[in-house]
Amino acid sequence: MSEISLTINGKQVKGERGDTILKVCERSDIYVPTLCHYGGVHEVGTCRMCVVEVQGGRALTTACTTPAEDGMIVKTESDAIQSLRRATLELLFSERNHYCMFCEASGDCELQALAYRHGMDSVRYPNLYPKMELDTSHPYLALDQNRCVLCRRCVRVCAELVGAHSLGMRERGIETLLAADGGEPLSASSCVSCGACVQVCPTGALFDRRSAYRGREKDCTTVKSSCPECALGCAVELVARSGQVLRVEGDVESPENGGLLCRRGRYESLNGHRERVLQPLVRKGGELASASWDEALAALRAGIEAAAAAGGAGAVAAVASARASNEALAALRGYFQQKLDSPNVGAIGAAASPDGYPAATLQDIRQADLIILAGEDAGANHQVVEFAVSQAVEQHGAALIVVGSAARRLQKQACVVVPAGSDEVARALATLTAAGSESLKRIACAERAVFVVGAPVTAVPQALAAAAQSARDGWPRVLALAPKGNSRGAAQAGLNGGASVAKGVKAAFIMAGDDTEMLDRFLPQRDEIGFLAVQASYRSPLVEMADVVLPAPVWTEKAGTMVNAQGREVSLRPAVAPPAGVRDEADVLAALSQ
Amino acid sequence: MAKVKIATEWLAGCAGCHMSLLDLDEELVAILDAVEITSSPITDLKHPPEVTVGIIEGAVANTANEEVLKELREKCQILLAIGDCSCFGGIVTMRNFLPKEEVLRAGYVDTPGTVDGKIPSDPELATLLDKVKAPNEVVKVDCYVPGCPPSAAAIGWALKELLAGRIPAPVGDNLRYD
Repeated sequence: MSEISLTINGKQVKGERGDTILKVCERSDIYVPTLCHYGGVHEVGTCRMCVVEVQGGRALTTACTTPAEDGMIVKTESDAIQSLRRATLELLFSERNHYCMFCEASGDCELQALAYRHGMDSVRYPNLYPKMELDTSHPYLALDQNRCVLCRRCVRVCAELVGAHSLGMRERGIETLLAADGGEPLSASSCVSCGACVQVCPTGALFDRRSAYRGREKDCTTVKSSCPECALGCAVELVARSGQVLRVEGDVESPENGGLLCRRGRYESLNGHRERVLQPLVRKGGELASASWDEALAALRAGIEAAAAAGGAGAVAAVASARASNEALAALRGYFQQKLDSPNVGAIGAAASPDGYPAATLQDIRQADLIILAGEDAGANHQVVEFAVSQAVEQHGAALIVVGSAARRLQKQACVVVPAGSDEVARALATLTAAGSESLKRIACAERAVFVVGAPVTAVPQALAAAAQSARDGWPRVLALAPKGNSRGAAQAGLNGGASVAKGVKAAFIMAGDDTEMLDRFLPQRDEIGFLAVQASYRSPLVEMADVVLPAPVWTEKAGTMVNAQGREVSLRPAVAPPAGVRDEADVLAALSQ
Repeated sequence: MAKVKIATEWLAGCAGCHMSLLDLDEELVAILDAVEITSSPITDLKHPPEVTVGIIEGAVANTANEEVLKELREKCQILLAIGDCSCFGGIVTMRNFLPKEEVLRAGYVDTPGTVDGKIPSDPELATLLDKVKAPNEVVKVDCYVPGCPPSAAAIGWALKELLAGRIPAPVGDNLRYD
């Protein structure tokens, strides 16, 4: 890239060829007001806030869409610029219905902040008072056309970063409206409920229903953590106030998910209405009754150690969810493996990555020129991967080969689709990439081949090895998807899949934490297990049938580490304190080992 | 030095901006050393005399608001609008989304608990305008302090600016819309 030099506000500044004037200003810390500009998507120049003066230019021009040229002389502030920007703001305010006094976004609104900055104390144009619709059909987000400034950030993010193309514009001119699928209610549209549009909306046009009116940013605390919903471990920011998590936002500073999250991560983990376990419970006279922590731990120890004394270490089992942190898993092993020597310690969802391939990051997927998706429906379980694949295909022209099931969107984007059930995927991949096959040639030609594989493929290393052999050195990079936040960490700790409790086990400890999928899978085995202790965040049928129940925090209350699908350690950080009476899993188990 | 004469009027609004003015508390006492409040909802005197500064709260919703606003404009040298309603139209403009007739029926006939309600009609009474307007759509307004309501501090600041011979143009903490 070649360097260019510009004079901005009388100062010599450097940029790179291909930069816009705005980009050069950003590089040199020169403030230019923007509204429609959003990093990572293409510029549209709709809001006209970033107008600047280019010497020799016909009129003021938008910094976000004007290419910077070597030798350009630019002014970002002058009376004329200021007056045009203020007029633009007045037009924006008068065109729709911006009632700051009861708007959800007031205080956090970029339009309002710009108006303050430009001293807009009145509007010279009569307000139009158009009658606008409010779309509250969606369970998690709402669209208020009254506040929309038609900046199209949401439209571009939905198309270019998410790949959903659900949002667009309809009508023309002053009647232009943001619309999902040309005018469907959000709930009936193709919206994938990832919430990216809400996160980028500069006004109160798109807002989060759960956190609406519950606090401005200045009244909230924001904690960076990692999402445990799957092994991607997306970087999140937990926004909390008064001991409650209001919403989960994608961390825009993360080079991986870059602010994007999926429906599960952003919404579903917060929007459940499950009853919490709030204090230890011990079965007394056939009934579960409240107990102190000391009583519950004594009962747990007595039950487990009695079974071990009677039937040996093999009579005791401990099963964790692979959502549990490394620290909690280590404490579990400390007591059950190291102290009691039990051979039955496992973690449901533990999954190792295939050996011998560099891990593919989401960044690698976005920049790949060939993606092979095999054995995992990324759209269903790992939406953020689906977004990255779509971006690679649609924005950068990558080729996509799908083996097995995949979301309809990815099937449409793929150049080759080989349908296969999960037990046939590895074989289908091997057939597709057999010696001399077209696909093998494609892999050989690719400069940046990435494999995104699910458990059915990881389980058959030779199928993957055969497909990967023709790739150039250092490639393919492989992302092995896994179901739980710490699937990789659990596997690294030597814990097996632990899908069931072995025969002959007389006492079991289930560390479910806030993994709701896990809670009831041991129900059929309940009668075989004599003594059952459960560490869980939520009430469930299994909890009701346990002998000892220990309350556990949920992920937004926890500190700890997890190992994500790429083998990178990510951190859980608590945004709120757990309810009184709930203690950290790792601390509780560590106490048992002493 | 003679005191600066001020008149205030309350158009279509909620009185919140006048309450905010009164929230100046002891600072108001200090300001009154330099200022005389003539006609005002606070003094309950009508029809302003000739004053230096006219202060309005509220938007223009009916013929009385229009008349009162025009009268004050004629009697004052500088017209200061305080609050979102008098700066932009504000919350009272929400009736602009409905036909006037529907608004009147909702207020006087369909109100829960109202029996045989009638829409008032008398030559003595003001009538609603078709649309609520911001005061600057009716007369020239010289300066503005928006807010819903503006803080007492912002109003106090504006008064002090005027006393110092400057036209207030609020920025920073003095410029708020909520």
